[in-house]
Amino acid sequence: MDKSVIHESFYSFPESNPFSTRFTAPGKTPFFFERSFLQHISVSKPDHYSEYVHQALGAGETLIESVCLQYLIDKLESNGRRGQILGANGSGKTTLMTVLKKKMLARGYEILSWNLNAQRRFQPEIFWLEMQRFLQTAPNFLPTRCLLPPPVVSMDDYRAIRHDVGANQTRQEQTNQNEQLESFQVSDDLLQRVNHVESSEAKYDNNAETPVGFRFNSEGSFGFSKTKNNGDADLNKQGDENQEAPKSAFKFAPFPAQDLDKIDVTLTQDDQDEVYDDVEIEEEQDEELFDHLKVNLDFPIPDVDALRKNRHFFDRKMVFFDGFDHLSYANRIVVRTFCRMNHLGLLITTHSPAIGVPVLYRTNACVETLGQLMNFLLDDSDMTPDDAQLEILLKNFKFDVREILFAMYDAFENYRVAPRELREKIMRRYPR
Amino acid sequence: MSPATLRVFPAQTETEQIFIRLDGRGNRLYYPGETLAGSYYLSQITRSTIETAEISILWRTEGKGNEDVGVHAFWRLSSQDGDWIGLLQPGRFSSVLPKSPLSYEGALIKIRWCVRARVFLANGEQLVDETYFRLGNLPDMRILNLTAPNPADKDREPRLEPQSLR
Repeated sequence: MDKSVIHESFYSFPESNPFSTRFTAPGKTPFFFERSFLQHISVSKPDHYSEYVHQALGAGETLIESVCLQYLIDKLESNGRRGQILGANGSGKTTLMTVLKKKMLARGYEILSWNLNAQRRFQPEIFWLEMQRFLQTAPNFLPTRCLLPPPVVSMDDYRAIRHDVGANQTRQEQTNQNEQLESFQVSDDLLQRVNHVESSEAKYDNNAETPVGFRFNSEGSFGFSKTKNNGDADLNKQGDENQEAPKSAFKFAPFPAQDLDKIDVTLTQDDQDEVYDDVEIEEEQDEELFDHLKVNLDFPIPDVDALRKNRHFFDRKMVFFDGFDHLSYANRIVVRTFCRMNHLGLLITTHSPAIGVPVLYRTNACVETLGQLMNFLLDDSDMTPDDAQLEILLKNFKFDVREILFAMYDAFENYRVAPRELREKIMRRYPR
Repeated sequence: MSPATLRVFPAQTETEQIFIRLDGRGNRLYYPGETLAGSYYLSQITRSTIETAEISILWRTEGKGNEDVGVHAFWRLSSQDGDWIGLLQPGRFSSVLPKSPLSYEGALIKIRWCVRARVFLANGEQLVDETYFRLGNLPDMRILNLTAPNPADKDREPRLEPQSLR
């Protein structure tokens, strides 16, 4: 079973080309960073550098790749999860984006990827439909309901709609309260008798006179119920008439008003920021605070957990757009504005800088990274072209690594009659 | 070893391997409609418990374009479902091969048939082994091109000399 001993007939079987797309496509190879970038990290962030190295020891990538990727993700997060990867054709933009995507998915991000190239044009209907699906799980998220037509919702519109929704709900709740109060009618005579009992502090017992039409009910619903109570006449039928009711039953009010003056909360709203950003949610005071906010704000606020989930929901949502410069000028603005409005992260790859998105990394092909890539694909430093050859290759192909790999594919196809030792080296990595 | 090539946790060690053995005439050449049978062995997997083992017979394209994959047969054994995945005895598989696509060796595209075994360990790692075979007996198109070169290629200079790989 030893694989190093290979029968001669084995070589009649054709080997795989190590430069075929199967091995060179983005995601199949790692992204090789320059050593100067690692030095840049160690100089610019000396405090985090040791932490990056410590975390890299448990990662599956190489040391340099892991450190650089963590630095880039931290930089992306510090820039508000917005960034662009700049570079020429075939310099590794898509490969870096794929590697970053894999790393960020492992960190718990949810990513919508979209790529455009010369063969694939932008189709807005499909893109916005996919975006709608991507955001479908957002709780209480307005644009999921108005994505089509293209959902450019300004903050003023957002607040106005939220205000209208809140006003409608408040009106509806008021109507429900009125209905319930109407269904629970207590006569003046009954109230007088109840007050008389309370004022005299008479002990309530079975022998005491029970107010007519007002009986505590411990089993059925007390008050308005569409299924059980149908008015004053049916109230007594729900409970046991012989059951002893506590004294506090007479203090019962169907909709008691809360004493909200005790809670001192000031809510400031800045026009430039999201409304929820001004509401500081603390673990200790959340219950009282949100009870207050629910009543006093002009728009409804969901539960504490739902709101907390709502605020942090988009912190892990990212849109990766490969080939952003293939978009039209209007579509660039729409996509960028949509992600900014809805607090979605945006990572793009372009040839020329896009306005409004900070530069995350500039990719450029050089002898060092190309040599590492060749070494990885051929898995043998003896077969890797030397630096002089790599420099000639880069100049001949205008620093386009994709074209270089295609040329190497053709060269490998033409390279049939190879010494057996050389073919054995290829066999180790690319078995037939 | 330079830091660029330093891999802290190798995905697969030398001792932990999967072996696939195909029954047949020894040249791994099969014809459409023929039954492909074989066995797979798991060797010295001691780091973690095996959760799932997958055996598949598939074809894939190789070349400059996008990769296409077609799965002809697939078996999955999961220890969570109560399947027994043993290290001591080989597992067996068998399937009747289809009529197409035939194995093809061209310059721009290749169609390769293979038996792939994948083992998923409890710690998240996976071990993979592939054994290629031929379906049909189409000749190697590259050899045909060598014997009969295209006259139009005389005027075209090669973009990269093959000797640069030596």
